[in-house]
Amino acid sequence: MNVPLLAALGILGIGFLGVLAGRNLLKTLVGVELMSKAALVNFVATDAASQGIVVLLILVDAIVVAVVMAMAVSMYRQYDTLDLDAMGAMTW
Amino acid sequence: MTSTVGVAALAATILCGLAAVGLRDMIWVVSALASSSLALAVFLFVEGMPYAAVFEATVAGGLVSVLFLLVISMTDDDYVEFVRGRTALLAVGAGAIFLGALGVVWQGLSTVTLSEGTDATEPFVEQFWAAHPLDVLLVTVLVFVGVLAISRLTTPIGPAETETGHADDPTQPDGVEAAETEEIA
Amino acid sequence: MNAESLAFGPLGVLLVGIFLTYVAAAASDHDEVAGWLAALVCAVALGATVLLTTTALPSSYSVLGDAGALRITYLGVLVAGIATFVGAVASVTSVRFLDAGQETYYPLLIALVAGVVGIGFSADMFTLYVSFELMAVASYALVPFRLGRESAVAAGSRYLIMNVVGSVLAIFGISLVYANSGGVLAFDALGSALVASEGQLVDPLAIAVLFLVVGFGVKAAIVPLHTWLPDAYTEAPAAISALLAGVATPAALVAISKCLAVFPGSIPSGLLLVGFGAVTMTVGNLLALRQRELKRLLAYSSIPHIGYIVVGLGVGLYGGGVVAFDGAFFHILANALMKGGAFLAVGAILYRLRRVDPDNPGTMDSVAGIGYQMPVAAAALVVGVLALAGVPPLAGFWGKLFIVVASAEAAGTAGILLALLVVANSFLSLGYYLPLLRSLFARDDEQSFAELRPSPRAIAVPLVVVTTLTIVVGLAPVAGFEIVHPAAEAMADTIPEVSA
Repeated sequence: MNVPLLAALGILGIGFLGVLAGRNLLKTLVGVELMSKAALVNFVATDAASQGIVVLLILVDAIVVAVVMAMAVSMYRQYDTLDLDAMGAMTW
Repeated sequence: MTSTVGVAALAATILCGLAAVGLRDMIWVVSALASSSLALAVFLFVEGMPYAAVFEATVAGGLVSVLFLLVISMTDDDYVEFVRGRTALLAVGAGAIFLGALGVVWQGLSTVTLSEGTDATEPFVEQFWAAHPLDVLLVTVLVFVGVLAISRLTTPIGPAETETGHADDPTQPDGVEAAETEEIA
Repeated sequence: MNAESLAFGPLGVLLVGIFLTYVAAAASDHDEVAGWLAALVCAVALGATVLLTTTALPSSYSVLGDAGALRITYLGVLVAGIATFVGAVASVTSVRFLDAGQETYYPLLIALVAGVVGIGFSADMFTLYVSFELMAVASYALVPFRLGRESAVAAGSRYLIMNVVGSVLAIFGISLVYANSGGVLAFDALGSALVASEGQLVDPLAIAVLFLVVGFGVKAAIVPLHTWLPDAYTEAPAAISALLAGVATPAALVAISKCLAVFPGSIPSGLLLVGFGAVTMTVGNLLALRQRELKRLLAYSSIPHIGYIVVGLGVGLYGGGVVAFDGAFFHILANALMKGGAFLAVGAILYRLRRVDPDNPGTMDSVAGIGYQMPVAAAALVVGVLALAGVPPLAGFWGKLFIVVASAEAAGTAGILLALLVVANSFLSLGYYLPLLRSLFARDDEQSFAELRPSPRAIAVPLVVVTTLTIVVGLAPVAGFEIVHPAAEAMADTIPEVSA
């Protein structure tokens, strides 16, 4: 069986659960981080010269993480908490 | 197919990921995420991508963890004291990860070839650039844009700060009013 | 100027512009310099885009190296043209009203436009993704730009969370494509590299399509991924809302169509989009009916238009031919003008209103009769809204017409039902557009807006330009189709024949 693909799907799933269950913005971010690792695994698993893509994706991911954290700081300044339920941010 | 070490590394990534998602204590969560990143870095290394491995370890494992701790210390009252009291320890920990990753690079540069099918004698940087120059350019710009975004989002909002006068909301909760300066159209 | 420089022109100008506007804002004492510079940058990029139409398209170019990096197609030209035009308009209207934060605002605005142009001209899925992220990251700071407002921060955080998750789903989808194509991501090569697998329980390509649609669909506000939109469009500064509604959200739709076009015909991507589109139209209209506040109403009303475009794209991908893509792309063009104009007009009205009456909630009742005091803004809003409602012969009508015709022709009974659904939704939207217009010109003796001044020149001039274009595009759709048709043809050509 295709081990890396299965692993990738597994990591994706775990990350997604983390996103759905996250009560706080930082937990959600952890979930997103894991999901992006899952994509990396898929890129690596293919027998192609994809190292450049992987490096670039790690960088893009880091930038997004930093921006999300800036948003977290901004939220904290407004609300004194990062609890998403408290501010209704995740209500659908 | 994937080597045994690779499979083990993937398994470690998954397990640490589970821990990161399941645990409650943010400090443990960050540690689990960092471990997951390190495990993935091992996987990358074993699969013939030493440079990617280094990036993953330093950036995703080290830098992201440091950022997390920074934000936690700023935003979660429980941890402000925790982090302040252990700043030295945390700094050493992050430094160790970084140095460890540098060691990997050193090793990689001297012994390991790049991913299959590429000319191992060309410097990585040149290959990297040659394969997708536009993407590298865009990501570089993205870094700058990210810094701008971060700078904007973390702008302090105090009585002195006015970001008033934008099209539909001239007045602010702080009570700072924009001056009436416009002419009649 | 050689062909490669020309091809890189629009994107290159914009990328340089990001740095230039930052320097201008940081170095200059005058608040307005950066804004005018931003408008100039967009105008130059627009000019470069127009110049590109004089070369032979489609064509591929490598930039700064040997690898093929840019693929200039008519679709890319259409997208880039819209993005740079609306970017210029947004910059000009922001000049007047932004008195702090210029050093981040204008660079971020240009970055958003640059990302969209990158999406349009990308030659492979990875470049498309990186450009998409450029646009997205810029928008993460632009939506909650007014940080002092609690509602803006809340809207910004919901926008951020949902879109970040969407992006990571999209890159996962791309990684699946990569895994299944043997490492190929270039659009022109993918058509042959992707082969549907037989005999597997679930076709991995179908899974990839699903991830791509859901991932990019968050930004495109496809129902049920749309929940970030009303708050984000309402809380963002008016020029940014115009940019989001007219440029960024359609860009996500273009990303979807570029990606989906390479999959083999056995994957029902067309049907998937049609399904999503139908739901998006209908739910969007129903939600909009309940809105009373002006800016929020406009925000909700964006959703059904996305639905129309998605239906058009879906029918086209299903095999509906050029007509469907004609309709979808024309509506993207028209939408940018109509939505852009409407948001800017509402912005002008609320700006004047809040100076005089800061507590005014901006609902249809509370602005009743304001049209008499602000004729330019009100007229622009009337044109924009009528066009949005699909009243012939304004801009919004033609796109819908083509989408309806294409649906009816494409698939027998189901197609005709779909066509009827589109028509019904169009009428449904009158249910909230008409009351809006009525309230602008209501005769209400209780409220007097005598103290209100008309729109400031800085907003009135761009408004008039956009409104005129809306009218022209509507009255002479041939001009619009001239621009849109080559893109539609190029798109239709890439669709493999649907197996009977």
